[in-house]
Amino acid sequence: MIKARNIIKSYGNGESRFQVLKDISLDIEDNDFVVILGASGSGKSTFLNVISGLERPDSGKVFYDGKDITALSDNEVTSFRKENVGFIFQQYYLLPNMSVDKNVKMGADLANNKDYKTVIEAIGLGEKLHKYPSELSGGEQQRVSIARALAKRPRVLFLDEPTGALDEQTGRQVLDYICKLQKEYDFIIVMVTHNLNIAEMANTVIKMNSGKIFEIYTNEAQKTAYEIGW
Amino acid sequence: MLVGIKNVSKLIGISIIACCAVLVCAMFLNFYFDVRLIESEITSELSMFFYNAQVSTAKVICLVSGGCLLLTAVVMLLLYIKHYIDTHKKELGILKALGYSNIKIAKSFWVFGISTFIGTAIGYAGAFLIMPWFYALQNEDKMLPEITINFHPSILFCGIADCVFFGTFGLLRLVQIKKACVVAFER
Repeated sequence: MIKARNIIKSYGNGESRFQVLKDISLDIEDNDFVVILGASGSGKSTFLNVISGLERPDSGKVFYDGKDITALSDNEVTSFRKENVGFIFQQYYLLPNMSVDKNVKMGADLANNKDYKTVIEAIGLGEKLHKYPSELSGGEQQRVSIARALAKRPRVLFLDEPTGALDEQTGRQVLDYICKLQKEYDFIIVMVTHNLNIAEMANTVIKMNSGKIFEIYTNEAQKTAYEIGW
Repeated sequence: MLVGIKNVSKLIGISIIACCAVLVCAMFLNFYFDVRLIESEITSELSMFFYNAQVSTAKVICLVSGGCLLLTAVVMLLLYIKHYIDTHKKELGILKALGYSNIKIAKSFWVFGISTFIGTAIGYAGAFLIMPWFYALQNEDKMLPEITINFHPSILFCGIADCVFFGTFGLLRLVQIKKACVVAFER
């Protein structure tokens, strides 16, 4: 379980200092699929970075099963991310000089996962192991990014607008893969998006605006990636 | 991992600078130690003046030229590593986000240590190859007794220490990697 308590985060100095997160508290249960919804500038990506350990809040705490990750040193947080957290970003962020196989292996090596090629097969890129990111479509690159994140066998998968750079068909495919893989590998999903339709896939929806949470609700029935609007 | 064949030209540059620095230092330092060994064999006053001049020259050139070249090599290596980190901030940030520690990322920069080692080895070997000619040139007028080329382990040790120092310094420089983490990502 993830708990965030009284998270405050600001950027800038002096007069240009701007408070992005304003005292946010939140609980996320195990195996949950959480969507954080909000317009651009609402603070959702910053909140994602804070609860995933990528950034430190100015004040407040983040707990993973009772362990306060905000109190950890830089090396300890890196080690924590290595063992618990997977990321998928809007821009994929693959290593451009490495093939599909090597990119996924970069994630697998952290978990000492020798069977990472099964994850590449699961995302349908078994035939393209030796291709480089520049030789892949956007959807394929995103799938490699998913495979790299899952090859680490994370407990929590954080996704920041994973379909933001994709067309509708590819976006639905990617979301479908993520949901299927969640059922297979059993991890928490925390997804940030501004797309209201994607929220219909989640168990829990958190709405953010101007650095605050203003609504949290659960979906009684989750839709699949091919049932949602776009 | 991150440093590859494409960086060969820059690595060759580092090797060349290291080679030149070690060649000059090793040659003049070895000459200095070998000339000091013949001090007791000098009988005439004129020879003693010449001897003192040779010792001083060897010392100054070793310290000044060799020191400058070594400094150049260090600065060049550090600037290159810094430039590399700045250019590859995004890749380094990705690795940090995945969970790679600073040390693990820094290990991929072992090629810098290798290029320094290669340059040092070539410079050291080159110094011994040139030494017979150099010694003969320094004592062309036979003002001094014959100067024998001897092997001084302390110089070899300094060469090894120099490689270790460069490599370690480069790795320490990579502490900057931790700052590359989130800063690298677009907002």
